[in-house]
Amino acid sequence: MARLQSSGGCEPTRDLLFELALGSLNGAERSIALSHLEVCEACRRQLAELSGAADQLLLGAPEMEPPVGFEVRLIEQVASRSPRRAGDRRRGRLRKTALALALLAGGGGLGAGVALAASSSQAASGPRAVRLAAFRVRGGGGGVAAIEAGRPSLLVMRVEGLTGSYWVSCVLSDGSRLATLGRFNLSGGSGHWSARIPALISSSKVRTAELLGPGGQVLARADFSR
Amino acid sequence: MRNERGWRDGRSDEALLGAIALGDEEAGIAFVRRYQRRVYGLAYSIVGEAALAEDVAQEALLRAWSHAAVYDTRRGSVAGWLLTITRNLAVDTLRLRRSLTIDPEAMARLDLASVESPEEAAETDEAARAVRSALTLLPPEQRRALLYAAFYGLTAKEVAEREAIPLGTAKTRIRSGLMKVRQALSSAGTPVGLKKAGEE
Ligand SMILES: [Zn+2]
Repeated sequence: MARLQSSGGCEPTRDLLFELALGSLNGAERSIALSHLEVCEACRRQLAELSGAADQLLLGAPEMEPPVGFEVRLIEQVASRSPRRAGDRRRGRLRKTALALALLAGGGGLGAGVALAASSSQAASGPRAVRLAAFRVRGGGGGVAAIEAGRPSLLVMRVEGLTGSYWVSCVLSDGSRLATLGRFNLSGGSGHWSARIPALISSSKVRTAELLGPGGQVLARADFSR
Repeated sequence: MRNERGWRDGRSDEALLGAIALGDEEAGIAFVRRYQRRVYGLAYSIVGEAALAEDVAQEALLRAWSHAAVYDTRRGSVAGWLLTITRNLAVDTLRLRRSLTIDPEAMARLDLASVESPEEAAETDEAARAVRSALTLLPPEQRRALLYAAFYGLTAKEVAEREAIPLGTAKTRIRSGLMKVRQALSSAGTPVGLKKAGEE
């Protein structure tokens, strides 16, 4: 009996399976349970069932909208953590570009056109640097803007939660403002839009992109300088 | 707006993970869009603070992304796997910050989430609803003990201390709570609980 106890028989293990399934079993009890599970198929099955239920419990937590810019920050981490070989900066940059384009194009709709335009210009001018910035419109809605340096340089936007007609402009690092880069109409609440940045302007000089309402009021700023 | 998130990519969770493992970054982004609200919601429920919840949620999604290749389809649902990663990271984060401080408000949110309102019901999918209705079958003290263990990783001993009850009582509450939830979910049909439970 004592021998069974120390190696962990079915009886004591069955008791521990609940907490093991819930991920809250530690220390000696945990090792007793695990060493028994190594040799007992019946207890393994029982654990699998309980674990399934315990995992499912987590589905019951309320869903919540993550903060604006969540995806952008995630993508930047994915790009920066990608395995990099020595002296392979170019590859890292390409990867970030690919990720940024996928992020911007992810919702379908206009996205395909954006990705197409971007990849064809990519082919023409090699790897391009991409800067990303998230923006939020007061009263709801927001999105992500990206500047892709190249020839031509592009401003790409993905917007969500907006309906109506909008203008896009940008402010340069010397404080001057372009009259307009273009405009778009949204009816479905979300979509993608892109415009060429005039060739006379170095894309690295673009500090913020601005989303303007029909009356010219600034609704949101995407700040690339941060 | 919201309806654009995630579900536009019709691939199954397993197919998305397979594609991610092969380096398909659009699949990675589709996966993130599909799960970010859930992952962030769970992280926030546990850590109770936006900045911390974002760190946890980002790390969980990054891990899922980088471990897509080793995901074992026999181990249960992708959602369960991802949310378990999230839960473990959130609990570790809390434990690192002093002892385990549970935000009573976050606990209340979880507890409330088990009592669904019609608007909420329209937004959440079947699996979440099944879990919530299974939770409503439990007496409140049993539900609390189970939630402490399942979400906050509290041991039976810690639950006993927190609730000022004997260890044996804490163990019983956790076990019967989990047993009832498991029965409710499996009597609803599929073992992954994609059908509504607790109605028959
Ligand atoms: Zn056994």
